Amino acid sequence: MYNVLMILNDLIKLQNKWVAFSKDRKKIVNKASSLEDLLKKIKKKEDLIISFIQPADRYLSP
Amino acid sequence: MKDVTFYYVPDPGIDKATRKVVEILRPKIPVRLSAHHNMSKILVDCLFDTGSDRNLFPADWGRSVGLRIDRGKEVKIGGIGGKEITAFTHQIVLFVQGNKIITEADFSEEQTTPLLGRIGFMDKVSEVIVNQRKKFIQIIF
Repeated sequence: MYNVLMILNDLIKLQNKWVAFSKDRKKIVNKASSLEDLLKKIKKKEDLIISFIQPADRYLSP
Repeated sequence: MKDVTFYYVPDPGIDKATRKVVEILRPKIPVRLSAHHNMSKILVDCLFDTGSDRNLFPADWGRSVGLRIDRGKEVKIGGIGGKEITAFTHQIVLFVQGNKIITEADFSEEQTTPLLGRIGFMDKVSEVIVNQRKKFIQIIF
């Protein structure tokens, strides 16, 4: 069953990394240190959402 | 008129008092990028940022659709802490849930988080509603 906290506990280990999620955002499909590397790793790009995971210990004001 | 709604997306945060993992909800919009008729297959989360003058994207994303980043017009962009970065402007097309936006964006090697700004995004749609209490953004095309 999907649990936001479970995903967040996984994502906390992926701070400062690029992550590919399934389209429903319930599953982490792949990860890499740069967007370029992540795009190389992903074979089937359709139906994925890619996101940069911000550092968890600070606020974001881009 | 078409409209689409995006609920804020949870990012991990650390509660400073308890050191427990908590969610930080942020207004992210998954966007497909196209340039020179090269359409990206992936969707990339962009932070909806009313404080950004313009769209600002990481250079890697532009290269993935064939843009030669440094061939664009060079611009300087200032931000938090007075830091200045160099970016290059390119003509692009964005797709937001199938809705096409012909626009331009600045691409930088020094930018990680993709930002959707006022010029080039907000001014290309009819209306944007941000509901901070209910944590959603509604875009009316």
